[in-house]
Order: sequence, then structure tokens, then C-alpha cells
Amino acid sequence: MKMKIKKFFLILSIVVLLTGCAEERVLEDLGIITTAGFDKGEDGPEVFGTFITYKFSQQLSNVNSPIHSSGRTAQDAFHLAFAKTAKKLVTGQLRAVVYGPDLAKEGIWPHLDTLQRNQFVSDLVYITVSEMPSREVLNAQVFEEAPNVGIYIYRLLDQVIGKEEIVDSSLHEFIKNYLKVGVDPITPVLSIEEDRVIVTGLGLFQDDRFIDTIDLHEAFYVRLILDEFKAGELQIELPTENYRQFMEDFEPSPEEETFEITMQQIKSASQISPKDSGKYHFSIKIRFEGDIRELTKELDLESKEVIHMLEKDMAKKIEENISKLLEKTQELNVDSLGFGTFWNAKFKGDKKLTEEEWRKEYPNFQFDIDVTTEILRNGITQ
Amino acid sequence: MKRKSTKKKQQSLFPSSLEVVEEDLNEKALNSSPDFTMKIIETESGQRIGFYFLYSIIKPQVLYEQIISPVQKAKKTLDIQSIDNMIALPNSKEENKLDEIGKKLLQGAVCIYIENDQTCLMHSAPLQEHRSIDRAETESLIFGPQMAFTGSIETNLNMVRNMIDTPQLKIERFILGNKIPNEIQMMYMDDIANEENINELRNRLTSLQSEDIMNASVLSQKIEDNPYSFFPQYIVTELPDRFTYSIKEGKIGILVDNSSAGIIAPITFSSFFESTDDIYGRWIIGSFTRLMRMFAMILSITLTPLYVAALTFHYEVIPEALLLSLGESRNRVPFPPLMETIILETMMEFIREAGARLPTKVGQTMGIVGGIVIGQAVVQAGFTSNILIILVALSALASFTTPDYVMGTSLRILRFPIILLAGTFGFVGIFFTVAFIIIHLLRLRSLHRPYTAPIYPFRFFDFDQSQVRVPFVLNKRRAASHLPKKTKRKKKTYGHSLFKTKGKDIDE
Repeated sequence: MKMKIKKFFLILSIVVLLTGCAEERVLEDLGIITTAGFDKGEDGPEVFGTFITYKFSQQLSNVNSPIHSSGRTAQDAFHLAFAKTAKKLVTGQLRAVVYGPDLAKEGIWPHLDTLQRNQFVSDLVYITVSEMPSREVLNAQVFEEAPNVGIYIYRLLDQVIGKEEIVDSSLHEFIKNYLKVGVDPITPVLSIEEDRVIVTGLGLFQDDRFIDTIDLHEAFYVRLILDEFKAGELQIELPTENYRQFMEDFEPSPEEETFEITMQQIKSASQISPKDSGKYHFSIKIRFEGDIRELTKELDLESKEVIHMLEKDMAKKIEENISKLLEKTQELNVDSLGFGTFWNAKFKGDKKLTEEEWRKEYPNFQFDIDVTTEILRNGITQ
Repeated sequence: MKRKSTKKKQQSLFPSSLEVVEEDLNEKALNSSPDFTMKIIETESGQRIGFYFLYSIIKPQVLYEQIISPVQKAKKTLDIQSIDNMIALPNSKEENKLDEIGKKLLQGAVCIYIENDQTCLMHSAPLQEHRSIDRAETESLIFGPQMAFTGSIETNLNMVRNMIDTPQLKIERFILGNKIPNEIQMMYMDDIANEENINELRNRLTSLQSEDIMNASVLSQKIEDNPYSFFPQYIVTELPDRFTYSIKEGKIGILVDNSSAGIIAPITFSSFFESTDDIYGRWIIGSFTRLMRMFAMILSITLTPLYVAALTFHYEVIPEALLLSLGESRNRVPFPPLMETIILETMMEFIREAGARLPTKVGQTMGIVGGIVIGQAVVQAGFTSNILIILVALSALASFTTPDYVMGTSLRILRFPIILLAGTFGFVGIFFTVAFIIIHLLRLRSLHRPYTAPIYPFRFFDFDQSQVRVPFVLNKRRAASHLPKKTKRKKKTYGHSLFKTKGKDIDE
């Protein structure tokens, strides 16, 4: 019994004495950063940081007032921002990081490394690049119902990625792609339009250097090659010429040379298989099916001939677009789709690409693109 | 030496005159009780017969009609034997020791003495005032028989006997309490209950050294395995149907005189979250409510500590959608989350305790004033955040879903140390305390049987009647956790295979 009492007091005293060791972070005393933006500073190696924090007050929550600070590194900028707010700045709720174009073109790995080493930063933070300096993007005043721009950007990216428009671009994904031989990272590109943040396309990286942007239409094909679609949407332009005989309104004959067709409920599956034929050869097989959502010209969709023609033409068009996209990446020498990894996954030993080989050879990769399209339903008409 | 001499004196009480007996009894055996009464009757043959009793605990009707009037009408010369023959009541005894006579008088007996005789005759006609069979107050039911045990052990036994009318129901009787003796009955199914359990409980009861046994709740605490524990180790129920159900399942029941509750032993942790309603209702309702109660129990223990820990240390785990509203409501609160929570939890306990102590009518007003008025004002004054109010109310509500009030209260109190540790160590503190509680539960035993069965030791087939309630068709064996003598239930008319007629097709 006496021992028990002694033990009890021992535990009690440990509790009392150790209490000082845990660092308290009471919610309302924190400046919780939701999005951070980093730009190249005005002179030399400086980094200019922009931080969006929560404001726990209903009167203030509609005003966007980012905290700015500059330092020698991203961490330094963050550190120096401590002196610019009465709240304790913390990064545990960081949702997105925006890198300005100047900084991104020089390479963002050193900054990412800091994020990765910070145990409070989630691996699922979105990494993005902006078209203009990030401080301008983060200064947007329109952010709908979101509590601040940071959360708005997070919800925007969530929505866009959730809608399967662009590929995932979390910190984890970026670092994985950066460190892996045979694939380059991609991130969404943010811009500002009418005082609100928008996504304009995908940023292609060579290693950690931002090289170029592709727009949202092209981004669709990146997704088409890499991922399975379960519910997407695609718009394609087709020439009117071949369909003239099926147009229901013969008179007056349509003047436009092309018409638009929109597919929805797209389900797709892609298969990339590398072939060793002396050269680096890849066959890309894509199965693509969906419903017709929109036609800018009325067509006789009852006829099987038309459907077949549409399927064929669409497949051709998709093939064209894909090869255009691939050519572009080859010109820039960025393997954003990761063909190098597909190669390395199949071949062993000497045939495996090293980093130098891959960089050197990527522009010479050859692609056979084979798309089969199927129109499942020709639309629900009301 | 002194004691011996008084004993000798006592034995020489008889023969003597009625008045001397009266004086001796009242002064030496009854400590001069004002309700001690003597009635003297002279028969036709000239014998003087005295009746001694305490009028406060004697049924007057029985006394006059069954005892005094037959003697009064007697014509011949009487002796003890012939008086006994005249009286139709059972349980008579001849007695000549002063102590014994006094003890019997206090239990509601009448002492009949013929002047100058050697012994006297004791007949009992006790008057026990008890409440009639009432609705259960602390354990309410929706479906079942809503009656509760009364204060009288006879009535209680009567109910149990009526519910289990087989000779297999074995009842053992003990008189416990060195100073104020009380009757205790231990009952079990002779053919089902485990022998070890019975012996263990019998040993504990007989070796119990206690001045008195107040009632079942007190007795249950005196024979517990671990008296220091937070958790009750026996179920004390006031529902005869729950009591008998447990006995039928192979457990042991204890009834205590002057106590409107029975003890069930051995039990497991999960049986505190069972109610006979689960059995009366359909199996799906029973299973759902049982799982819900378990969930509510976990919720009631951990909800407010999680709030404290998350807001003090772990802002990063708060979902984005909640962060703003939490921050906004916390923004006006002057206290740290720990203080805020303890204030509100204490207030909740105040309201509960005040409601329990006050008369029912005032109690309801109390609830409104405490719950709505203060709750509203506290938030508006910026004393606590309104999200915490929701959490505290929710966890209090969850703790009231536990059918056993004692267990519910234990769990509610358990919350305070967890909150304290959550406020000083964060999640580590919560995990530490919860782990501590789990270790304690695993070590705890009820009548030397594991408290956490069937989870540990793991017995898959016992889950069908503890955590969930399967349809009776599937419930073919008794819970093995308590090692009943027979696990298989008798093949009786459970299930469809025994319905001999098939019935017509629906559309015939």
C-alpha cells in the first residue's frame, strides 16, 4: 500500500513537472498559415514570402491582408515574418504553396526541401506555380465563401483535381517525381483574373525548374494518357465537310468549316508499353468511351454510319492532339508524362535509362498512338 | 467471570411471576423500550397467561385473532404444548433464555408465558411496513414489466420465485452483520451456475466481517474484488426481470432484506451496457442500441478531452471546415481551453446533481434554468465557446445512455482526469489515460472472472449476447465466459424447423 502511494506521487510529480515541456499552441493565439507564396526578391538571392493566415473574427474575415516578409531563404522569410504579426505563425494547416515564375524558373527544390523537412507540413500540400509573382495572386480580393484566399486556392485546386481536369500535384507527388529517374514533375498554374485566382493550365518542370505551361485543353490529354478517367468531359473540333450529307438542316447549308462535339461521362483506360526496337519506342493504347453531350450542328445520330464516322474522326483528332502534346514536351525536353519510368519498369540491367541517358534521349523517343473511341449513348434529349 | 454470573442469573429467570418477567425482559433484554407491552389473561381455570411483545412491529390483527383469542376461549388447564396446538401459526419455538427471547421480540415475535412455568413459547407475527411493488425509478424500460424490487425480501423472493418456478432454483440463506443482523439470500440455478463461482461468493459472504449490511449496494461494495477501482464489479439492479434473466443465464443473484435491489455476479464490463429492453425488442433494435451505447460510452469519455487537446496543442488536426468556426468562437473566450472545459463540465455536473437532489417538480425547472438560460448566457458572455457547449452536452447525453446509473456516473467522473491530462500533454495525455484505463479494465475481475470478457479473453461466440443481440434462432448456447455447467440451451421450440405445419403459400 505504501509503495502504491509512493508510486502515485511519483507519477503525479512527473505530470506536474513535465507540464512545462509541452509547447502550448492555443488555437486563437495562432496565425495559421493556409497558403504561402514565394517570389524572387528584388536584389540577389533574397526570397520574398507572402503568407495568408486565418482571421478569427467575422468583421475582418472578408478583408485579405497577407503578411509579407523577405529573407535569404524561404525559411528565413517565414522566420522573419514572426515580427510582423501579433500571432504566432504556424504551418500545420498549410494547404498550398505558390511559387512565382522567376523563382520557379531557377529551381524550387531548395524551398521544397524546407517544406518536406518541416514535420508540421502535410505531404498533401498543393505545389503550384503562378503566371505572375505570387504576391499578386495572393492579393486577390474575391474568394467566395472561403475564409481567406489560401482556403479558396485549396478549394479551387481540390475542385479542379477532383473533377479530373488536371493531375494531382501534392508535395509528395512533386518530390517523388523530382527524385525519380524518368519523370518530371507537373504542377497547376495559377493566375489572377478579375481579382480572383484561377487555374490556367499545367506547368511543366524540368527537374525542379519551371519551363513552360500547357493550357487546360492539353492538360486533358496528360490526364488521358496517365490516368483512368471515370467521369470527365472533352470537347473536340471536327471538320464539317464529311458530315454535310447527314446534317439535318440541309438548307441553308452550314457555312462553318468545323463543328464542336462535347463528350461527357468519359471512361478511359490507357496502356503504355515500351518496345525495344533499337530505339526507345512506346505504344500508347487508349480506350475511350462516353456520351455525346453537345453538338453544335444537328446530326442524324440514329444512323450507325454517323456514329462510326464520329468515333473514327474523334479518335483521329485525339491522336493528333496527343502527338502534338508529346512533340511539345520533346521540344522542351521535359518528360512530364514519365515515359522514362515506363521504360525502366520494363527493362532491366544495361537497358535501363540512367538520368543522363534519359535527358539526352527523351527528344528522340518514338510514340505509336492508338485511340479507340466508342460512343455509348448519343445523348439524352429533353 | 462477570458475564458468567449474569448468564446464570438469566437462566434462573423462570419460573417467576408475570410481572417479574415483564421487568426482566424490558430492562435486561430490550433496554427499556417504550413500545414494549404486556397483556395478561386469566383463563377459566384460574391460570394467568402473559403475552409480551413490541406493539410497533406486531401485526395486531394476527396477534388478537390468532394468538390471544384462542387462548382466552380455552376452558381446561393449559400448558405450553396445548397453547401451541391452539395457535394455527407456523414457526413456534420454546425458549427460556433471556437474550434469545429479546432478539426474537425485536424481530416481531410474541412471547407467551404461563405464570410459574419453566419455558415460554415464541410465535412470530411481524409487521413489516414496505412500499408496494412500484415502477422502477433508476432503470427505466420501454417494453418489459416495469415493476421494481421492494424493500421486503419476502416480496422480492416471491417475485423471483414466480418468474423462475422450478426446483432447480436453489436459495441459500445467510444472516450477516455482527451488530445488526440482516437476512441475505443467494440464489442460482443449481444445474447451470458454475460451482466455483458459487463457492467463491458463499465464502465471501460467510467470511464477511461487518457490523451491518445496509442494503444491496453497500453489500456489493463490501464483497468486490477490487474495492479501489473506479468501476463497479457487480450489477445492482432493481429490476426483477433483469435479475431473473441473469440467474437463468447461469449467474448468481443476491437479495438483501430491507433493500429494493438485487446483486448480480459475476458480470462483465459489457453487461453494464445491456438492458432487458434489448431482449424484449427485436434483435435488430437490440443490436443497434447495444452498439450505440458502447459508441456513446467511448464518445462521452473522449469527446471533450479531444477538444481540449486539439485546441491547446494540435491545431493541425482540426479539419479545415471546422477551423474558422472554432477559432471565431474561441476568440472571445478569456480562458485556455483546459479551464474553459473544466468550468463547463463542472457546471454540467452541478446541473445534474442539483436535478437529482431537488424534488422532481423543482428539478425540471432547474434543468431549464441550468441548461438553457445559463448555457445561453455563458456563450453570449464569451465565457465558453458555443462549440464546447455542444460537445459537453453531447458527451453528458452520451453518458446517460448507459443503462446502469452507477457505471454511467463512474464514466462521467473518469472524464475529468482525461481532460486534465489532455490539457497538459495533448493527445499523448489522452492516450496515456485511456491506455491506463484499458490496462486497469483488463486486470479487473468480477468474482475472479475476467471483467472484459468476451473481448479479452476473446470468445467469439459470446459476442452474440453481449455486444450484439442475435435472433433467438441463432442463440443456441449460453455465454461461455462465465463457465456455466451447461452451455447448450435445451432444444426447445426455437426456430422455424420446429414449426410442423408449413402454411399456405402467400397467394393461395
